[in-house]
Amino acid sequence: VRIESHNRRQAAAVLAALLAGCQPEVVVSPPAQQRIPYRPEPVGRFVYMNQPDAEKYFISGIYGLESNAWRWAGPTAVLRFHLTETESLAYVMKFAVPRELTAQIVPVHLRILINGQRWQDLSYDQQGIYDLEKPAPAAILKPQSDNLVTIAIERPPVSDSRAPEPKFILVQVGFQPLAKKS
Amino acid sequence: MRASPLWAVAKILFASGFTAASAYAAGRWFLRRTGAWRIFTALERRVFGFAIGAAWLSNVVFLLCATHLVYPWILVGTGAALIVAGSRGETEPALSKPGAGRAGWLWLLAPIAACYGYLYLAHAMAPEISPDGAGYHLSLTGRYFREHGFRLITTNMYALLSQGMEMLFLFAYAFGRHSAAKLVHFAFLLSTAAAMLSFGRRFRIEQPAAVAAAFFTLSPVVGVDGTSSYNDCALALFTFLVFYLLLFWESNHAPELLPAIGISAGFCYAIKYTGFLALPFALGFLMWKRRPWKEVRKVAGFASLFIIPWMLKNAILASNPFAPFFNRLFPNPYIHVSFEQTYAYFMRHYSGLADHNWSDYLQFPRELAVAGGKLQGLLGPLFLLAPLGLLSLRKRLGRRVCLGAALFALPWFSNIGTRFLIPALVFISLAMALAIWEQPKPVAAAVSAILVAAHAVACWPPVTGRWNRHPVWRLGDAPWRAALRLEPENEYVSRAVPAYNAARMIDRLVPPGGRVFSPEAIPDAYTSREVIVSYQSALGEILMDDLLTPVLRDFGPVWTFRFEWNPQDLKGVRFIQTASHESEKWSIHEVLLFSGEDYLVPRPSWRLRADPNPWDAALAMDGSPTTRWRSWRPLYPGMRFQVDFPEPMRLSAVELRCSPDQPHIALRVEGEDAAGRWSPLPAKMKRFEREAPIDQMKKLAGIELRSRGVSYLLTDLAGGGMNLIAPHIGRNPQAWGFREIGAYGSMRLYRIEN
Repeated sequence: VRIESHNRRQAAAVLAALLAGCQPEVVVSPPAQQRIPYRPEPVGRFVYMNQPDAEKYFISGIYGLESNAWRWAGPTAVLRFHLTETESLAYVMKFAVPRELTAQIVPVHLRILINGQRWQDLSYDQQGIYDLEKPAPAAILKPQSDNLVTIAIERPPVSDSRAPEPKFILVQVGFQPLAKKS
Repeated sequence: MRASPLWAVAKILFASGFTAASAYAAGRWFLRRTGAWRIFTALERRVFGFAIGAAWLSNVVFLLCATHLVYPWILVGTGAALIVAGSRGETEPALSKPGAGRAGWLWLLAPIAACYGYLYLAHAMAPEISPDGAGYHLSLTGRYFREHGFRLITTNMYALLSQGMEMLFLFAYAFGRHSAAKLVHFAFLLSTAAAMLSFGRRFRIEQPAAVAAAFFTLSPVVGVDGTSSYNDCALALFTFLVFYLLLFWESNHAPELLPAIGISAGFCYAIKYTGFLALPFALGFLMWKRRPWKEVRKVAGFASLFIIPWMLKNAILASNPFAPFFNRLFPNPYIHVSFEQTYAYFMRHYSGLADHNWSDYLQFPRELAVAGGKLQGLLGPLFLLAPLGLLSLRKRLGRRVCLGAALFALPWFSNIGTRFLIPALVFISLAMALAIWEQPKPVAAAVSAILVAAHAVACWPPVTGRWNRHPVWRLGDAPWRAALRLEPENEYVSRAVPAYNAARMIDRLVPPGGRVFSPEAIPDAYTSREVIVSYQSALGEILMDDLLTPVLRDFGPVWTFRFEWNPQDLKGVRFIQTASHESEKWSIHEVLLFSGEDYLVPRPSWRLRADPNPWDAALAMDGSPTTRWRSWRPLYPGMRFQVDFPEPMRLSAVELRCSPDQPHIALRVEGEDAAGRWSPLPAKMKRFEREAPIDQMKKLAGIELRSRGVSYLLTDLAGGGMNLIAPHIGRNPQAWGFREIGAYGSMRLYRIEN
């Protein structure tokens, strides 16, 4: 460090820098290994809630495995699926509307969004186990990339803030090749 | 099998006695060398011998810590060598005491002294239950002992404070553990009273000095502090000794006193940063007396021997000689500027006092003297009469005492806890007593007797409990069964400090070397495992942030700022924050760069620069939605985050994933062209929201803790403070990758299994 003049202020600044250990500018690099969600682990197009790597598919709103078969989900469950193709796919979901939910909200409105776009609105008056299978909308699916599926329970505009979060039961969900009809 | 109570008590008494004897011997040896011994009275020899020797012993232990030589046998050898050195040589008779023999009436104070001695000794010998004593004072002492000296401890701000007293605690702790350290501090309280009496004899104010010593010593905050492993009473002793020695030196200009003045002033800083004023006071006094520079330099030189080691230690270990303060001047990755600001604020406004309204200061006399709950200590109602001390201004000595009171009360404004007034309380007591003894002697004696008796009665614990119902930090009844180890230590401590059981649980369930993260402090003097507390270091704050991010929506990467421009070849891109805010901090969860539709995966060859807090810049490019780079300073224009590339890259967009807890930020994006020129990019900015991937973030929080070497988490389901995460974790620890391995009451200990 060279002091250009006898200016006391400068000398004080230099002294402060010396006391600070004259640290060089701190520069760091991005970590070599990236983690989710920007370079997520690869996933498939369909997930059973009890498969060992199921959690890789979950973004949010899905809870721990119950009875080695199903999981609570909601009020907004978000999953991701990797699709190589988008044509001729069916959206397949096995789920249940539990008694606890119908006790809270009747009818139960489920809204499904794919890649953020509203796709299906479903309504259920009774508890029960349901299978949903519908042709998937190729126009809003992205090939060779992850696709986000959001399943949301619509809450009534006025609800009891003390009530538990509404949840449904999810068993399996994802995209399967559309069954060819003979 | 439990050790016999007699053996336990013997170890405690030996350890504290050996420490005091070593200190006294070191002081005696040194003061004889400087010649000061020759001009001291017998009582002064005891007081200054112990105090000056304690300062030297502290420095010796510092050196042993710095060289990792803290072993019991080395400490025994050191103490023995000091005792031998101190006891050699001829013993000159002490000077006859000015005024000696005229203080016989002091025996009237004997019954009060006996009662309070009975109370204080029991508390000093009992196991440590004080908040800071069972917290950092003895936790660090224990760690230095186990690790044989200083290690790089950057996860506990208290390890960066000056620790002159902890060095003495360590000497005693090595043989007698916690209670021995408490007794060492108690010795300083006794020495303060002795120093006040000695001062009275030296300056022919025996009666006022004795009354002042009673005022001071019987004060509830002094009693509880002086019988704990704190340092305020030690600081009170040394600040008073500086004053004492300066007045003594003024009367005879004896150069023999200059080293002791320097040591006393320097050791004030070594005990506690708030003691820093002692040195300028001493130097200012010498200069005021127009002494030659040689004498001023001598005092400064001796003082520096006790100040510089702590500054050097911090400069080397924490890149900041004044750590954990002045982090703006000495930026470092260990203590955040925002923490320092918040900490300083709370220390100035306990319980929100005077945070918005300066008229709150009008409550302080009552709060300090009578209530005490908000300021965590009680001086006693007697000190409502403190303004009486101003009557002593009529005489020269009174003016000086008042100056000492005013000067050493100044640090209290930086931490308004009652105990921070203890150093000034010596002077306040003295000023009050001087004022009383300016009255005719019979009146003064009667007033003194009434006030001392009333003070003694009012401050006796069962009586205090009758007139004060506030949750005040003060002594209870004399715990002799615990002091004599007739009641086992664990029973006594767990009754007084429930969190003690959590500390013991950690010792049982966490293997040696395991690190535990805890949102709130625990009495970690009772565990040998490292506990990282959320607010005690930068790392603690970052880990806490990782755990809060999945719990608090406003902490998650909900906002996306997308800047788009026509594709350009750029060597770097940076974001300039242009807004100001007094408390809001800037943060970035993730920076994503795009070329057309392609996301550019960060490469290790890229360089990240951030100002402030460059150390954590990688957290904004680690792909984890849990972690984030934070400025850890309130918003100011010119903050920047910059990405440099080794070669120009074609870029057309950048996204910042940010949390909504920063509504006032304003951003500008700039690019560096191939020629190295920075200019604003003509970017269109869009902001949109998306919900954070909560489940993944919980898992990643655990992974982040593990990657930082933390494998265990202690939380309190009862919530409170930073434990607000505890209920979220307690509902489903598996979602976080945690496994509960222990529980005590509402406390839960988890192992992080990610």
